[in-house]
Amino acid sequence: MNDKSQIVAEKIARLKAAISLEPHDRVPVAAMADFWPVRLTEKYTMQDAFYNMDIAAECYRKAFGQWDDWDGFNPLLQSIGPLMDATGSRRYNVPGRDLSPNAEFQHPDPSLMDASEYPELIQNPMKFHAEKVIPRLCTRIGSEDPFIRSIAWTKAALFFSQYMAKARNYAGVWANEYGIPPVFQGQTLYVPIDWLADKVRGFHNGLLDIKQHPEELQAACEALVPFITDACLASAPSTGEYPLIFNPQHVSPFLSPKDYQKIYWPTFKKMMDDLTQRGYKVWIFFEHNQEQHLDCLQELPKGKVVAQFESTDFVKAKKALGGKICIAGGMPAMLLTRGTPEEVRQHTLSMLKLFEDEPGFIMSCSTVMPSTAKPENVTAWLETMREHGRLAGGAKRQTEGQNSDSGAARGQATTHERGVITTWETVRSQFGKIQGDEQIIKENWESLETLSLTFLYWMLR
Amino acid sequence: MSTGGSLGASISDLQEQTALDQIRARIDRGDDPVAILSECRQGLDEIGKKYETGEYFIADLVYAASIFKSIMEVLAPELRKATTGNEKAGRVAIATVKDDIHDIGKNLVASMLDAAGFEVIDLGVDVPAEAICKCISEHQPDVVALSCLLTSTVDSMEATIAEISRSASRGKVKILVGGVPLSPETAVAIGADAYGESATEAVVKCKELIGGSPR
Repeated sequence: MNDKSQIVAEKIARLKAAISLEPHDRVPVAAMADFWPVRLTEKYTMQDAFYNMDIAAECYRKAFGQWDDWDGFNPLLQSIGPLMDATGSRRYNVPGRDLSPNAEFQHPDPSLMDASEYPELIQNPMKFHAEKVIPRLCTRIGSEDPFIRSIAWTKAALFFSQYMAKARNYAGVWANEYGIPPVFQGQTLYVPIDWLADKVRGFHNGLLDIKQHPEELQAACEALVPFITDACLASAPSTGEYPLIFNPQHVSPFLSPKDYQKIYWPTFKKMMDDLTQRGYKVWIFFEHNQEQHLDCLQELPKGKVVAQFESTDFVKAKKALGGKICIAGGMPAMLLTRGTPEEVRQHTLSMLKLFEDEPGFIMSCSTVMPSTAKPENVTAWLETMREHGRLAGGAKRQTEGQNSDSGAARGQATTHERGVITTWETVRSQFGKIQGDEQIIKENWESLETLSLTFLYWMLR
Repeated sequence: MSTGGSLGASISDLQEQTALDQIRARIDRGDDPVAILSECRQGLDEIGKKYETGEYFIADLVYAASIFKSIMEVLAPELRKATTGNEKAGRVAIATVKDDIHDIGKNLVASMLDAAGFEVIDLGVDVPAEAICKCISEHQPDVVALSCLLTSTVDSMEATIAEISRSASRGKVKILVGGVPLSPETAVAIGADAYGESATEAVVKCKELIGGSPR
């Protein structure tokens, strides 16, 4: 075990203890970001990073060289500009193409499905997404010219393959060279109505469907649970409590408790119960203010999820959820961008004070790390955590070896059933009499099926 | 669908079809369209109160805006025939600032302002400061309402307000800002006249900014 792997093990142990609500040595600090450090370099534009993962990674090398205190950090490395162009995807407005070269990539919210198509989606979500949603999202894949379609799919698959390999490589770099482990594994998990509103119907239509098509929407949410769960887990390395599954929640802050309990909570709760029973733990990002739903959240599996809040009041969140589920957040993105180091320091101390008797707390930025964060504020935040983090987190020093883990720990290395698009049983007869070992063919069939499921889900995000 | 309750109550209860049936019946019997619109606005005021008290949330406001749009499709041809009593409460130019394309909040505020009787000039998203200054000089809005979602585009909002100030039109127009990363303190710091925490508050702030002198 080199010095970095020991550091990584200690950091993961700290995060795992906080998530499990167990006492540990100090409050962990974790974050995620898109292209947070690009502006720091004063060398590259957002367009450069969006089109080239190596450039994005170079920016992160500079940032992690300066700040390596993170107990966990997920650089999202969304360098997918070439994919957007090759497929004609309308998912993002691209810096340098649709926006200024130094703007952040953004979601333009296209509507890719009519409300009248709910029955078709409900009948077979995978088929509907592959046949209808992706071609509408990606104009070249949706082209009437089969040659353009084929080339677009080919380029997308090639890019996916390169992208995944590079992303895996860089996750290793952050852990092995900088001692910073990942927080998340697999692809992002969405509660079905978030998926429908953000990826399929368009956000405005999604909200209106709650009022205008409630029955179809509820049925669609139910139908989407296995599709989303299987696709998300297809690329998770194993069942295990760490790294976590990431679940951002976008629609819920806009809902009254009445609508939430009718349309959001049933499938959200079902997914959380299912994943945690399988051995996973989930980092849920509750966007905006979700105070109206805090009572409901008390029913989430104890010690098995993390609740990151953006602008929900932390005193209320702690009162409702303290001792039940780990709370994360607490550093407002705006304070990092417009505050002073002293304000950042005082705010950090106030959060540590609030959670001094609560081991279930991870200090994190309220959102992704903002690209306009002042370097001196990031330094002030991490220095304050280093100097005073022991005030909180249960204030109990970890005994040697407790909760330790090795490498970029993956939790228990048990395997689980992987999702597939077309089962082996469905195609078995098409192979005729198999002369050799059927198991070899079946395993390879299913392996490529799982990869395809990952690919299609990735294309839709 | 029952049409027994008041029109305002149908709207405030988000009963779209009932409200539309009531409006069509009232038009058919020759009621004054301006009076009908006034009752619709009372219903919308009630929705605003339900939002402020925590009974309704943004999804309800989005639906209310959609209902109002449907109502106006029925009512607008009748209103065009009316010659008096339909004056605008003021003129508001609204935009999401440069480098930000998020428009859910901006669209909701535009709809609520429209429903409250303002003339709304919607400049869209990712709008450069120069386009906003040009709009001010061409259309003389009472208020410019600026929106952003991203933390990083608060800088863009600040630069937009600075540009409006440089263009000498600052004294002729009030600036209202809103968006997730903002607070009342940030609004002051970047040079705005007012901050709207929600779509309903944005309407109240526009009325306050214009005071008693709409065009």
